[in-house]
Formats: sequence, C-alpha cells, structure tokens
Amino acid sequence: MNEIHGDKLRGHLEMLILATLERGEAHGLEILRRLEAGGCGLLKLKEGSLYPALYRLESTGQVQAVWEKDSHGRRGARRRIYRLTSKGGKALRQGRDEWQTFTTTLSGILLPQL
Amino acid sequence: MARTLTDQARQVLEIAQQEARSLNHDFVGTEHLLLALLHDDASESADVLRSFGLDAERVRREIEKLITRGSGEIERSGELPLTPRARRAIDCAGEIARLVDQKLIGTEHLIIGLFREEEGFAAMALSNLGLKRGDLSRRALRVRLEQMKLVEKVVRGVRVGIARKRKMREELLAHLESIYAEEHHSPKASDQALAEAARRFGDPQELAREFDQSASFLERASYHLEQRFGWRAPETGTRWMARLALQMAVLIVIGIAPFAIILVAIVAHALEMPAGSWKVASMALAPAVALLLVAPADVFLLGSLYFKIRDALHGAFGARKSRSKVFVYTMLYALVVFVSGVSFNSTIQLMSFDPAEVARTAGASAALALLASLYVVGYARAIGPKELRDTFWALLKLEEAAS
Repeated sequence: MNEIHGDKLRGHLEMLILATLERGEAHGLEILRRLEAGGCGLLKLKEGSLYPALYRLESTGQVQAVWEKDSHGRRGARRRIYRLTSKGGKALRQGRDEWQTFTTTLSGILLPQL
Repeated sequence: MARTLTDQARQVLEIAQQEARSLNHDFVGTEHLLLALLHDDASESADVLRSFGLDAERVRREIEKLITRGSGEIERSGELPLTPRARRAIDCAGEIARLVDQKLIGTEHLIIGLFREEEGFAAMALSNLGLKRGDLSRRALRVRLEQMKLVEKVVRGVRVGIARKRKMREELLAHLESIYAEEHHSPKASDQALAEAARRFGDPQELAREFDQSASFLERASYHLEQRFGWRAPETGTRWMARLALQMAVLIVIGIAPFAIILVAIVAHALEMPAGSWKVASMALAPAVALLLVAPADVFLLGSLYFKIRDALHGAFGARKSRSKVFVYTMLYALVVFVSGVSFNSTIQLMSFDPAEVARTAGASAALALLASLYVVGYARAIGPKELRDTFWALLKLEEAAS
C-alpha cells in the first residue's frame, strides 16, 4: 500500500489528534506514536507539523495543555501535556459523522459495485 | 547547590576528591575538577578537548606547572571542601545548564563553568594551552546548540508574541531532544542522530509557515504590540529603554494634548481669567508637564538599572555574579525612584521646590522607594532567568559564517 504523506492529511489532522486524545491525555511525541500505531506506519507526518495543529486546537478551546510536572527522568526541556476538552469531544463526534457521510457517499461512486 | 548534577557530573566530583588527595591538597579546586573531567579518556569532555588537539596528559602537565604539590599526605578523612572558585565554577555551570533548558548540570556545563572562572587554575591552564572560551563553549554544547538552532529557525520568524514563542521553543526543543535520543545509538554518531532527528522534524521554513498561519488573533496582536514597544534583537537593553522613553514622551504628548486644551479652558473659566495667562496655564498643565519630565526619564533610568540588577544577579552575558553590584544598583534604583517622586511633586506644585515639604515627606518617600527597589530585585530573581533565556534564543546565530 502507498504511504499517506502530510499534505493529504491536511484538514484531517486535527480530527485525528482529537481521536488519539480520546484515549487519554498525552504529550506531542505520544500523540504521534498513537497516530503511527493507528495508521500501521502508513501515515507519514513531519513531526513538527503536529504542533501548529495542536496550537490551533488549543486556541479554539478543543484541547487544553499544561506543562508536565514530572520530568520522567529526562534532564531537558519540559513537554506539554494535551487533554481533550468537552468542546473538543463534541467537535470529534461531529467530525466522525461528517467523515461517515463523506466516505459512504464517495465510496458509492469510487468503488466498483459488487 | 540548588541545581542537581547528572550521574557523570557527580562522578567527576568524586574523582576530583581523589585527584586532590593524590596531589596532597586538602581542598578541591578548579584544577582538580578539570583533571577529574579528563580522567576517563572516553568521556565527552576528553573528546571536546581532543577536538582542539589537546589530550588529558598535556592538560595535566600544564596544571602541574601552575600548582605546587602539597608537602605531606592529607590526614583529613571524609570529603574535602570545595574552594570558593570551584563552587563558583559549578554555580556558573548551573546557570549555563539553565540557559540551554537543561535541568541537570552535566560535564559539558562543568567544563565551561571551569573555564569561565578566570582566576582558577583550570581556566589558566586551558588559556595557556591556547584555548578560547567561546570556542570551547560552542564545542561542548554543540549538540544542544544545534537542536536549539533548528527550533529557532522555526520560531524566530513566526508572528506571535513572546509568551507563545517561549512555549513553542521549549516544547519543540523537548520534542527534538526526545527524537534525537531515539536516533542516537552510539556516542560517536551524534551528527547522524542530529540529521535524522532534523529529517523527522520537518523543514523549518515550512513549519514556520504553518505556525504563522495558526496564530490566533490575540497572539498576532501581541506580536504587533511587541514589534513597536518590545525588545528588538539584537539591540542592547539601554538602547531599548532609550527608545521606549522617547516613545513614551510622544505618547504622553499625543494623549494629553486634547485634554490640556479643555483643562486650560476649565481653569480659565473657574478663575475668571484669560486662558492665555501664565497662572492659568501653569495650574492646568503642571501635572502633564510633571509627567512628561519624569516618566520618560524614569523609564530609561529604571529600565537600564533593572537590567544591571538582573545581570549581576544571574551572572549573565559574561558578567560575574556579584552581590555588591546588585546592592549598589538596587540603591541607585531606590534613589531614582525617590528623586523622581520628589521632582514630580514639586512640579505639580507649580515648580515650587519647598525643602521643608520635602523633608516632611522624605521618610515615607524613602521607604516607598526602598520597597519598590526590593520588589524589583525579587522580580529580577524570579523572572530574570526567563528573560535571559529569551535573549539567548533570540541571539542564536542561525546562519553560521562558512568556517
């Protein structure tokens, strides 16, 4: 199968992030790991691009971020931990519905009828 | 010491004890710390010096030229005390670690700290061997600086306020150091790991564009505000304050002029005197004139003094930490607050300088001035490190001259 690169994810990245955060709060690298695991390694994302999307979600109140308190033995810079807000949860449900409609509609046209 | 050491750095401190004893010294100085840093030939510090063509043996010989061996074996059991210079060197290493966002003091910070403590034997030996402080710092912090530069390539051009930039810098740096660690398989392969981490991270210019487009309205607004009134790297603090004072004077004139006309009219009406008379004008405009005389001068003087206090407090920009300097600048700060309070008052009271009145309120004014200056020291203590980090980031040279 072909890999899916960053530009094809445009517009979907935010929903994908919200979906990973549904499983609990996480820092950036952890979100990427969840995305990677969920996409079976076919999602290819420049890791830095995660953060602009997170900041957009943060400024619209769909996620909340706090600096991590425990450094987990790391000696360097702090990470920020992101958490889904109720607003983000609502956006995720709505996004799922839209996605459902989108795929069923397009599948009806794109896929050979069996 | 408030800041803690990495395991390696702690080990160096232990080895330094042995080095001191083997030279029959009953104290641990910078020279013993330097020898301890180079004790293990495979250590990072040894590597750093090797890149300047120096091996541990040459450093040892240079140190032995400078010091005298103690006469008898050290009787003292237990831990030997650090000399004040060694203590200051470790403290300085802590400041450097903090500057580059590392929580623990590592050997790379220690070696820089030792070199910064100019009158210590370690620094003398290294200078005698032809080493330059800037070169050594850049080499010892190379990996960290490369990570920071990559982050700064993304962050610098993004049009958001400093508060957001601070978050971006630390968070992106945390990410980059994590993926660097994932890619760093052997101590020798740091360049490879840096390149791989950079590849995973993404093209800085593209990322900068994405961040820029994601900025919220408020972040964009604070960017524009800071462009006008904030620090513009790489200007000096004094220059910034001079600019701010000028801007403030202009703003006061623009802000007050419309009200001044109304005020003059009101006063003239109340006194039933023509608006052009000296008495009317001076009564109506005295507060504005006082503000115009005092506020910009205060911005310049107090702002500049604040930077002096902060830098002396944290030993920033190559300045040495100095309590006496902090004290002198703080007293100057209080003096400026006091004098400007007095001159503001006498200007409001129609340029009448009344010594009796000044004497009557002097005690209270002085107490207030002292309180203000103490507050500023507290502020410099708490917020200073953050500001210094901002400055360090903003001054990182991104395009290295071909070397």
